[in-house]
Amino acid sequence: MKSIAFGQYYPADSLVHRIDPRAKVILTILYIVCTFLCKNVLAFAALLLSAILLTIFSKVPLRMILRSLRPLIIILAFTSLINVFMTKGEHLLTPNWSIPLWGSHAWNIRIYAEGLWNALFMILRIVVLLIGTSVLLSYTTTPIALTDALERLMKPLKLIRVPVHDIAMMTTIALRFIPTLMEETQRIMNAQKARGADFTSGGLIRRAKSLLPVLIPLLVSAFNRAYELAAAMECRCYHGGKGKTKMKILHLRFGDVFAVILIIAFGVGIVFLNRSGFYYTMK
Amino acid sequence: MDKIILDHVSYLYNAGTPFEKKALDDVSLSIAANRITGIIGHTGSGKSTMMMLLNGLSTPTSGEVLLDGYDINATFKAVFPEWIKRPEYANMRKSTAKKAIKAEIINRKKTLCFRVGLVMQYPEYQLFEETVYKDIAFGPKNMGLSEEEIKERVHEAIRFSGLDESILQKSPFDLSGGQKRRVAIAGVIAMRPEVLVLDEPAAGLDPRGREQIFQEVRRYQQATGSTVIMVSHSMEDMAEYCQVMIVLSHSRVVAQGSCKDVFSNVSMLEGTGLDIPQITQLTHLLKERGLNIPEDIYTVDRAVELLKDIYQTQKGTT
Amino acid sequence: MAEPFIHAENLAFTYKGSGGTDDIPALKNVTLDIQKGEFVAVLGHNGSGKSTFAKLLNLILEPTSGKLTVAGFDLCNKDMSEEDLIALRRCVGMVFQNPDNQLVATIVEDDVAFGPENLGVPMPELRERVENALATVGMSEFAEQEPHHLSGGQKQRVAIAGILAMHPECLVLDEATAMLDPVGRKEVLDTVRRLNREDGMTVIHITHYMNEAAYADRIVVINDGTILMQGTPDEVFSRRDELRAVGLEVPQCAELIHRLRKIGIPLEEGNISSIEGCAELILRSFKKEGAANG
Repeated sequence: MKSIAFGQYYPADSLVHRIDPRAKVILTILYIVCTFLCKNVLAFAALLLSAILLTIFSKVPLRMILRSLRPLIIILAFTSLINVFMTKGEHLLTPNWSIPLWGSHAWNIRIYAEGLWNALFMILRIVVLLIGTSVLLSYTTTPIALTDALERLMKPLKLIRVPVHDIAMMTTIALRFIPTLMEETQRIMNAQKARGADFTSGGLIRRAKSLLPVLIPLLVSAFNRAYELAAAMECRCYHGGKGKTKMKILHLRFGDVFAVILIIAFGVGIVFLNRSGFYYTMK
Repeated sequence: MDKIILDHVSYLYNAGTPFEKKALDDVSLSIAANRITGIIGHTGSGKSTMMMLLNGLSTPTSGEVLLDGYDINATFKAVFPEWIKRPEYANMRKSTAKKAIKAEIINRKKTLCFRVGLVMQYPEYQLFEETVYKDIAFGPKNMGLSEEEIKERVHEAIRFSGLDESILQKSPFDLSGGQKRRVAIAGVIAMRPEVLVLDEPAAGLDPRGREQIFQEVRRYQQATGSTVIMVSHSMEDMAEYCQVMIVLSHSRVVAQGSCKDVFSNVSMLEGTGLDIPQITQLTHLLKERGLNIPEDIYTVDRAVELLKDIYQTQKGTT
Repeated sequence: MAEPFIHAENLAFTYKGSGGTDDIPALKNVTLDIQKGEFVAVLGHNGSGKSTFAKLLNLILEPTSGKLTVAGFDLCNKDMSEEDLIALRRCVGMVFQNPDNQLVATIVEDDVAFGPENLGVPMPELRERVENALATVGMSEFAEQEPHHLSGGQKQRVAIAGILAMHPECLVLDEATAMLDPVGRKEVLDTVRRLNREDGMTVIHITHYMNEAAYADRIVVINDGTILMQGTPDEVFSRRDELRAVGLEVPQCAELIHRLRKIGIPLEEGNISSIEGCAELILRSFKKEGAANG
């Protein structure tokens, strides 16, 4: 049986893995705030250091994290180009270059030191943001733990009639059935290929149309599964979240609280570093 | 005559990763033309993997799959020195011949699934058209046949299935489980494959449904003289419908030959995790208890015949 | 005799046709008692109504007419309270055909906990129930695995554990072995047979495999929505011609005995539902013949 790698969870026993998923959700939010607080070189250096430490503590191979950054390269390149060319500052680095456009218009290229710094900060911010969230959440938390954590954290929303439990249940079921449906898709595709179906040639419309023999059976089967699952859940006395107990109760431990305190302290530290005015501060 | 030959075929899942798993381990076997061959093995013995190799849905990690002597995964490099000597290519300019040979290899790959028709497990899940007619016509249509030809094939296929022609205008989703299965098989039969491969064709059906499926396959085989390969873990069914048997266990072939040959070695079969037919178990027990009866019994018919003989000789000896 | 665990009287169920299609009567006139601790196999071909019968037992479907009481609950009472319905479903656990479509959670032990969680079983009893249920079906070592890595037989055993953790009195297997290979079928059957023998669990096994029905205390054959026959496996298997007529086959051994009798070999009545029993019958008859002549 082909094993389908699902999600990005990297199984390991590390400090980061062991943090309570609720704490991790809060930590992630705070960490995102921290990345946006950073304003100057010192602050960004501290931020980068924190990301490196986090990666080391999580035991997630660096190779895996770098791979997840790959799709971002275009966005990073684009934003840094905009920053380099569009930021106006006081330290002009280029002579008065000018590229003639149509008519009397021309584009005056002016690159300032501030632009380069801004570009660098922007890249750092996005990269650290991604490393931080992926290490704190996707690589070290199982999807099911994450769903559970979100359900608990959103509990107060019940007061304004948000069906928190139902949302969590639906997410769990979706997660449970993703591998099943992926396997099924593969099976149906093979069956239709065996009847000469061609999914790769032709234009966009033809290709979309050629997927019908896969999508229709998949949909029919998904509905059947849903129907059977509903019956099976009823047989197991499912009647919503009312009166339901939980086998896996999460306990906040000292370490979890400590981690949250640590990150708040880190945020405060960054604010102080920002005020040191060292070298260049972003506007 | 051998229709298909597997020559030292191995297949690895997720080769080169920590999840590497051997599905077929140096398997060599041949499948006779114009026969129904049963491939028997427990779940995970590699039998389903093997079926996907036969019509090119998967390629072996090593070894060759030969159809009528031609390696279905042959590369241009491998066939070129041989083919260029053929009369149809020998007279061409070398560059033209190269192009023509490349085109032929691609064409062979493309048409392979029409020559080797594969019916996957629970094939009723592949039905998708509005009517049974359209669904059966899907394969022939992909072959690029004319409307006229398609119509003929659909009607022929539904006759093999033993279903009434009136079913052609119904929606496949309104049929019973057994009917859906027969329609799905008809959809592959309509391509008139030289080799029909079926993965666990009777799984989950009741005795009547099972029999109808096997009869559909048998009718097709007898009418067209094609080669049929059925994969199953039910020895009882395979003993009933197959002429030749191959037993797979833990990614290797452990026995092949006529049903008689295979069943003569019951003790070997016991180690394969397969269900031995009740009747074979019974005659085995009778022999153990002192009755002089051969061991290679695998159908009720034969057991009745033999026991009758034994009874009559016993009655006769005074 | 004590009150039967399941009591059905003239029970009928009709699938209501929608949008111009006709009503389809699936179960027509079933009268049947099942005692506590019995192992009953319900046999029938596809579409005979056997699965409908199973689904009535815990009100997945509501009876159209007739009487049905299960574990003291009146299932024809249209105003059954939600508490009673949940109590009924706790009591009558059901395992379905497709192992993939009844597991809810992404981790085996979480799935087993689903039922008792819904019942509001508190910790630490909940944890204990889950562990015991997994041990009973022999799946303890897979507790932290993901279900889609398991074989069909293993998934089905997890599904049974999920039911057992609710502490039911009766287990209904609705064609739970139909999609399994011989190894998986044996795993599931061995498990339910043990539950029946050792814990006195009432088991209702819906199937079309005759070989599996041989293990039951009693076989009920359903055809066209009514009970065609019932009795011990030996009794049912001896009525081979009637079974054939409705598209069912007796196991090979019983078939052999039937055919030998037909060609005039005298064989006594006996235990034709087991290989051992058939061998005995044949040997006894042959030896008698040999002794009479020799």
